[in-house]
Amino acid sequence: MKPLVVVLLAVLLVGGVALKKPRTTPSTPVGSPSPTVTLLKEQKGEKIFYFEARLSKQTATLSNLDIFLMGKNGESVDGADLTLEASKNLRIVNVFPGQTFRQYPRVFFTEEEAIITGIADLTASGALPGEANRLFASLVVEQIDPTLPASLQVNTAGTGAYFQGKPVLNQEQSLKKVTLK
Amino acid sequence: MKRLFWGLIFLSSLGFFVYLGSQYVFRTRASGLNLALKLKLQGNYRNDTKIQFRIDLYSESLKIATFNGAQLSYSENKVFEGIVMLNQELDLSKPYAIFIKPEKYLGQLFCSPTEVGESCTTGKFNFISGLNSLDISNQMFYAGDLAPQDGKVDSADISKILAKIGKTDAITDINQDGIVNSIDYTLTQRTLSLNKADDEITLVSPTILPSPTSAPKVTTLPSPTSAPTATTAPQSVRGRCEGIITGEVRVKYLGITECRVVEEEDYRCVNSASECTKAACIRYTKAEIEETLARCDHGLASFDEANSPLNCEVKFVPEANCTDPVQDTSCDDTSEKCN
Repeated sequence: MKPLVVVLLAVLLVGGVALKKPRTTPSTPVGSPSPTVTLLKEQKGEKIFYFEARLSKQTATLSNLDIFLMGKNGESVDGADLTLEASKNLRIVNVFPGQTFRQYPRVFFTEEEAIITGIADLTASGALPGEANRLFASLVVEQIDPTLPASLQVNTAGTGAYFQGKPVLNQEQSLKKVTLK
Repeated sequence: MKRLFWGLIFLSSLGFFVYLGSQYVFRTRASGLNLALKLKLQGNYRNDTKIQFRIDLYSESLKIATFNGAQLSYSENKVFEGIVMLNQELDLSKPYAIFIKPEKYLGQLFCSPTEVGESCTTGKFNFISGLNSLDISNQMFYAGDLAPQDGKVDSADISKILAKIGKTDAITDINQDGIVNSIDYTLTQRTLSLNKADDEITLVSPTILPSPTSAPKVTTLPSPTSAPTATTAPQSVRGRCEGIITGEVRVKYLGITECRVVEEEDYRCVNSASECTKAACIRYTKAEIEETLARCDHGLASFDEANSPLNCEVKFVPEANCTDPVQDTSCDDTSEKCN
């Protein structure tokens, strides 16, 4: 092999984006609040949000699990994390972000675990927070043996919702486990 | 003129870093026990920036010392340098592993400059009295674990930043430019997208050796000379690990994925043929992609590792005086798009 050389390569990215869509990361501080920003009003640290699940069976083994971030209409949330762990007879097939937030920087899953994080978008005019009572994420799960029990457990240590740096998820009221029959 | 592809990356040296050997002995320059440390942080910094961090020392799998409040000063190209006083009596006959946790960043565990995280199972740092030096600037520390630090980056950290946007706040102003803004938000967002957390402590206790009775017996043959000779294991031979890296690299930015073809040759110096493996080549290539993305895209793009098939064909060539190639720090996008 000839002596080396080189270096180089690869590269990527993203560029055309710069022409179609301006960067959303101005280096200057964000200016005065827009009407949207006023949504970020004080919520007095109340834990008013909770996750709720709706399960629908697609085939004998496949099910769709829609998870909603519920709360009072008009209340804002800066970000939310949801960590789910599959039981032995269940595997996670796919995970899709929902519409609660404009940004889902983390949609990570293996057959045994899913971690989803949605966050408020930050634009030149301010933050666009998440909205309550909208779909947070959808999962497709497979019951390996439909005759045996299976479940998805919420890992509470990896689950939360926050506003102005404070927790706003009511863990008592929030989803803890989804059992597939 | 705007670049069509501004955010690019370069696998510059393709992640071929120098292996310093199986044992890392620091150089002595002065009396006392100090550590000259050099590390790299995600983000861009002003020249007068200083960062604080914590160091935990591990002997085998036990944490034997913690040093809080150590400080480093910005040097250049995201690198911080400084000298840490290790005010603790250490058994200098033992090797150590080092966990480094900068304020506002995720921590990493080092067994050697190149054995980090999951691959760090046995500490290999041997301290000696005097000034020891450690350069780990080949590894990027990711931002976003804000006080009170919990070893992970999640929406709580993003929320803390959003609460202080446009304000002066030491806790959430990650790059210390005097104001909490979209840069701090974006740095944290990128770490989130990589699903990173503090390195788990994966150190193991030493393996218990089999009893002498169970060990195979070795018969030593007499040498032709009168003096007895010892049979030794083959010496490790330093050399070049030459690699041909092929595949595709995908990067996500604002929901859009860009793909580039990779077809390159490069090399790194290794201390033995056993270090020249396909897995190590791929691992370092991926690490370099992430590092280059962070450097050239300011944390806005993320490496889609799961959808970036890479292959390395490696070949070991003995070369006692091997020197590593100079890293290319360019951010130009010269590679081909995927079909």
